[in-house]
Amino acid sequence: MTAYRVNKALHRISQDDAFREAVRADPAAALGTLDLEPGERRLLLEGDVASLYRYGVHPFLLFHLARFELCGLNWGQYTRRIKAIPIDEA
Amino acid sequence: MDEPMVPIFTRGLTPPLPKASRSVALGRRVGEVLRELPGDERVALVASGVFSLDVGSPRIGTVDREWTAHVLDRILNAQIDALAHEATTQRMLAAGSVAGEMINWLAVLGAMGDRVRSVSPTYAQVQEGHAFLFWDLEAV
Repeated sequence: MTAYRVNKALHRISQDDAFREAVRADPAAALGTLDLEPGERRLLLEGDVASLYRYGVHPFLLFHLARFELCGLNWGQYTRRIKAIPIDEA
Repeated sequence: MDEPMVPIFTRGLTPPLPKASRSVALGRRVGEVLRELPGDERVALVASGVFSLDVGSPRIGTVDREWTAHVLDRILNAQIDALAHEATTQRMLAAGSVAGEMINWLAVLGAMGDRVRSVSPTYAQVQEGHAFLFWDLEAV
């Protein structure tokens, strides 16, 4: 369950309105309050969804970043980045 | 709708998914309980779930039409156990990251058993990976 911390962070972003807006206002500060490895936090802040997917983060949770347009992502940017992974690897 | 409703909502979104045969068994038990209720009140069973849909993975935007058509064919021909056998976690998730939702259909199909009197005209969007159906059952 290596991706558990990231999954949990994304779940909180989807459910906790105040936390989500804190992430929007200052992503580094808000994510800094969570129990995340430095590398996990960096991938989130960079919106590197392809690496997070390969790390094992659940795509349904990952997609919340596009849905709420956080960490520099929107629907189009998310789709471009995730589709950099070949489907046969998915 | 005035009838009491029983929604069936099980966790088909993320692995580990229950085995499809367990979903059928769950539905069969729900059906037994409903038929054992005193009185002759009609009860509506309601469930929702896609056959093929991807949210967030590299398959986003794609639909497994072949699987969707196959699932629909199995459902319309009441081949429930055959479908449950085929609907492994691996097969369902190959049809999309949230395609495990299909197990909710299996539970309702299990609850209906062989009491189907009629099925609605099929509203299916195979190209979109989903369908809409309703059934009328024989009275107990």
